[in-house]
Amino acid sequence: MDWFPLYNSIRIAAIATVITFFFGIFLAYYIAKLPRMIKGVLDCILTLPLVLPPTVIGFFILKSIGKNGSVGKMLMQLFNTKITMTWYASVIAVIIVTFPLMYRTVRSSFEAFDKNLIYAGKTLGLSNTFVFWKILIPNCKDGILAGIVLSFARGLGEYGATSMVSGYTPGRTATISTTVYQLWREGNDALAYKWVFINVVISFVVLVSLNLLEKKAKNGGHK
Amino acid sequence: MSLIVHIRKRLHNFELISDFETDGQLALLGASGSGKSMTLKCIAGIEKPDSGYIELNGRVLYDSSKHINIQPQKRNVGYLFQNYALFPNMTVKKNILVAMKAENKTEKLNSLLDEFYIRDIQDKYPGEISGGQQQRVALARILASEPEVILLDEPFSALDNFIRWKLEMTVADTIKKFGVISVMVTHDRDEAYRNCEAVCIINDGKSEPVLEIHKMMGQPNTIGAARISGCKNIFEAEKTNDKNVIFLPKLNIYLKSAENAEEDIKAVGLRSHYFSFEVTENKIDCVVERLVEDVFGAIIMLKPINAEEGNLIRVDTDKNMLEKLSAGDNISIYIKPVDVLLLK
Repeated sequence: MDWFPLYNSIRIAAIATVITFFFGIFLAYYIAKLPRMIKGVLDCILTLPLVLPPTVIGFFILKSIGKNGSVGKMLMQLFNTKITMTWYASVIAVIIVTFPLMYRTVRSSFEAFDKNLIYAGKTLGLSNTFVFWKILIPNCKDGILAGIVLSFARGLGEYGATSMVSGYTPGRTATISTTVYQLWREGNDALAYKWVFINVVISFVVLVSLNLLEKKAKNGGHK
Repeated sequence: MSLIVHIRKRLHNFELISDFETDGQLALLGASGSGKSMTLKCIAGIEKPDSGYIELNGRVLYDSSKHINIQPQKRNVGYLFQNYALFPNMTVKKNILVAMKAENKTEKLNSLLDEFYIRDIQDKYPGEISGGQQQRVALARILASEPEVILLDEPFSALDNFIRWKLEMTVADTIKKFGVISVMVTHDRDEAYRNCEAVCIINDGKSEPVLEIHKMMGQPNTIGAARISGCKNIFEAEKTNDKNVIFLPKLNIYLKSAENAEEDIKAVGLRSHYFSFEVTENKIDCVVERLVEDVFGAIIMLKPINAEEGNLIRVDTDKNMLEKLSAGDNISIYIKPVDVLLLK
């Protein structure tokens, strides 16, 4: 059996999750401080990918990084390269699709965070960077981990946008979800079942770890 | 050593105007929602006033006319939060260490651990220690940062009476011992009386002139001060042609006062314990509305015979009056001119 789709799916989901993590926590942090009006608008825009069909997202991505898109043209001129139909394009698609999950989970845990801890840190003379990384982030750990797990799981299962921007090339862009679709089309049920089974196991592990995180958060965290 | 505060800030339903100076222990007294905590937050730099000026020991912390707004980290202000705000992810020891700036940290840590009796719990997390211990850690942490002023935001209100008194003594000792300026926000006049030398009353978002605490309790001269000092009867008042006589329109009576009424008189305060049933001056004819038995005495609600509906005088007296009186009786009460407090 060719394990490439598993490797590729994990690679895409992992890289995308790392990037979404940083984007998610910084945007959640800075947007929380903005005036209510602007916050509302940005909130809508950033959450949009959660409710839009992945094909619409794929369409937008193709229109910008495709050979006629602005970004696509620039890449072609500068590096003589294109990113559509490569696995990098999947990373971009997965970042956009998973971003709202990370952003919203992190933001709600920032909002629930006791502001007095931040104020206390500042009046004690601790720098904003210290307060952010050593006080805010560790104490929102459970929420952030939940965001990471959810984003990773969503990234692993992403199909619509990925298949539009990267297609299905065995050994190059094939992911678990595109492989399952391909195998079903070919009527290769035996192999399809194997991949379906692998997918179910991964999803199950993710959900169990989410539950464990929630339980830990309820029991009060630090020991 | 001094802290000077002159700030204005628009809050959602009123404008906060805070003006005071202190070089010792000051209490900010007022009802909840009057802007006391906001004043502390502005001093600490956590909130920004709309305009004004804040100076600490000669250092300008905030000056809207010169666009100066020092960040909280550089203000050297200690803030004791109501919930203590200890960092849950750090041990007691780490909580204190992060606040230290200077060298010989171990030495200083050791003396603070002993000072506040927290050596035994230095390796525990805030979630594992009691409320009293948390407060001692919070105080130790504030002192570790060597502040020039300590701001106390209702420091005892989250505690039950029993533990409260013990902690109040710890806070009082700490402030005395380290000789810093302190500003305590509270709505409890007894707490202010015990811990502070001076008091600034914030009434409807506006601060009144700072008063020496004994003066505020004995001879309050504003409505806010009278109310906080425990005066139960406060009525609108008007001055008359005779400087020593004032008119109370709601009660429809004239009272003689010891002091001369000024132009800006707004009300009078009549303490419920100062009325007498024996003939002296300022006779008020009343009808008994209601008798209430209290823990150590009796409360009598009286309606002056010509008063507008709903304007009652509260008199606190002995329990034996309960037997002598019943609702509907006519009775005359008296109050000495010296006990008629003129309020602005």
